[in-house]
Amino acid sequence: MNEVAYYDKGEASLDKQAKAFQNFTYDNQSNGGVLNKLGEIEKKINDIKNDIQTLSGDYNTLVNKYERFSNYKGVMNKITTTMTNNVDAISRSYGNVVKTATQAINEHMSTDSTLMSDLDQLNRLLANGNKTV
Amino acid sequence: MDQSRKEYDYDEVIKFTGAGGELDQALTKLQNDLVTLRTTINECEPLFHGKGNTSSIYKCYKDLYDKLGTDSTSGTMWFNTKNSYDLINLMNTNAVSDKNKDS
Repeated sequence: MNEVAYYDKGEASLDKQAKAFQNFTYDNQSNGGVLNKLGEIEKKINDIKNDIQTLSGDYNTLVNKYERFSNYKGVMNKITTTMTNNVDAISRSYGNVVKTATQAINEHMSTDSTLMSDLDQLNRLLANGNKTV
Repeated sequence: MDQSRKEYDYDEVIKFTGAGGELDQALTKLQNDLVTLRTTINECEPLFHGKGNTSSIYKCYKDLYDKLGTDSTSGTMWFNTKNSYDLINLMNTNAVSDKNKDS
């Protein structure tokens, strides 16, 4: 089989594991802060949703133009449907990260009033996430 | 000619499914965005995390990484990305084969 398409073998086979830390941390200062990172994650999830639509559209273009490839339509649909379901699940998991951040801030606001503005932003991220999930 | 095979513009299909073609570009964009998503989650973890591997925050991150998965873990993003890669290569192989048979 011709191997013509790009494939990131290193990333594809990389074992992706969450890190276990010693203590609870909510850092809204370094590297742009947690809110900045959560916003980046949300944007990238939406980008991936669009990527899957583009891939699905390109598959359909091929099938519609060339009957020769209609046999692959079922496989193409299965791939893109599973990907869409996956990214929806990723979106829900992201929503859970934002929810836990919101809960954490709620708990710490009594001792640190500067977190009030973070709570507002987290609630906005949560609202946006709910629209896209 | 094989009756199950219809004539078509072989070169256009080879280009569409080949390196730099529309499907390759779409798959490349998806892979790059998956890498960026994973690295951004990596960067978020030190900024916001719970204690140990039983905290609800840890479980949320684990869930995200599990959904990204690898090309050998069935049902994950990377597993299906690999399927997509194989399918594009297969279509390109068939188009090249069809062209060679008819030339």
